[in-house]
Amino acid sequence: MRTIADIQDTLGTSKMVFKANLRDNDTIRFELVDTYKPIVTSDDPIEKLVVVHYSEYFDRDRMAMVKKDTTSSVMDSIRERIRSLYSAQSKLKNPSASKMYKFLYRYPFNEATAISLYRYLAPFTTNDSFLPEYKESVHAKNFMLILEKLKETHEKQR
Amino acid sequence: MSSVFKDEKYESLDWLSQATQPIESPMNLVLAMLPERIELDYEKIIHYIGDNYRLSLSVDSIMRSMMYEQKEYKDLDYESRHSIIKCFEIEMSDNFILDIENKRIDGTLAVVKTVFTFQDEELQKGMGSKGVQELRYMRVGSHSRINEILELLGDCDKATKGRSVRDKVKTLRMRLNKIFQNNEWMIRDTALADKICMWIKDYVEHGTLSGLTNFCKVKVMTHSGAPIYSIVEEV
Repeated sequence: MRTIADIQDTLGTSKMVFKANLRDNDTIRFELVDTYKPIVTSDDPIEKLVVVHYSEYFDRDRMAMVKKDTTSSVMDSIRERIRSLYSAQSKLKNPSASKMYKFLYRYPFNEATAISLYRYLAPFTTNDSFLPEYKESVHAKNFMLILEKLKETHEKQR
Repeated sequence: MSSVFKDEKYESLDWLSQATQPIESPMNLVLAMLPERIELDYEKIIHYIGDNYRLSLSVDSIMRSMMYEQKEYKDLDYESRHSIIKCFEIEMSDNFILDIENKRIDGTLAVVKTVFTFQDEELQKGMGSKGVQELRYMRVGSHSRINEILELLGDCDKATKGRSVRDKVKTLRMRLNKIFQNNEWMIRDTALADKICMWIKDYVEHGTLSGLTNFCKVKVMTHSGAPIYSIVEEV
């Protein structure tokens, strides 16, 4: 399975050529002449997320442009989407007060589970809800059942 | 004038300086020793450049780094260094490019001196500030010694009569600040102003008589109405 790190490895970095901007005659800020902008090359929704979160910086000790490891921010986006989808599907008046929501907030999703779930949901959802034609679909029901199963397994292990 | 109260430095000044009475300061010597133009090549830029997230260069970072690396400036206090740094600015050609891929630069970049001597107004503001700051940590060995100094300074009756050591030290510092800032004693040498504070500190802390003698000499010389650049110091 293609992981977040696998996708990050395919991305490049900017060339280390900087133009200087002088301010107040006492400070120079160096900015990249050409900033590398990664592009999405496939339909993989995880790749889209990785590209959105892409970040690089100049490491003076290594004298190189270095890609930031954005695994945790990508995972945060995935978890936020799962919580939003749950809130939209739960039909509760205040879903964020529910036990399930609190569980989803605290549960330490492992990367494989999170990206599998995210890839599964991508064709049927927007950022915060199922598409209208999929709201009552088997995929929406599967999603809720998967969450229940995760919660149940987690509670048994504790 | 008696040789005891001789001001050799003032007497050695030319007639024009004696008439205009400029403030003497070691800061002007330090400033004169620094180069007028510091060209920055690729290696120097990389050496002075900022940290990983903010790729930047400033007069402040360059000059601090440079002064720290050289023995002559390493012991300068923060205020002095800050004053010297303000005398420089960056000069850069248009469209300057730093190409780290190929380890080269395109254009010119230099730090240039824009102020060559400190103006008297600025030196007056900093007169004695280093010495007065040192008095903050003075350990008062004896009430009578600090009271003697307060009486000689004048305008310190309340603190002299009081029992609080903290008030006495605070009044002493405030009074000295006022004397220097308002040029009441016409001290025209910043090093002398700092020394006055050191002599006071020596006498109050340890009863060092040479400190008291030197301070009293300065006080006597203030009555002549002439500017004071130096005294014949007791050791």
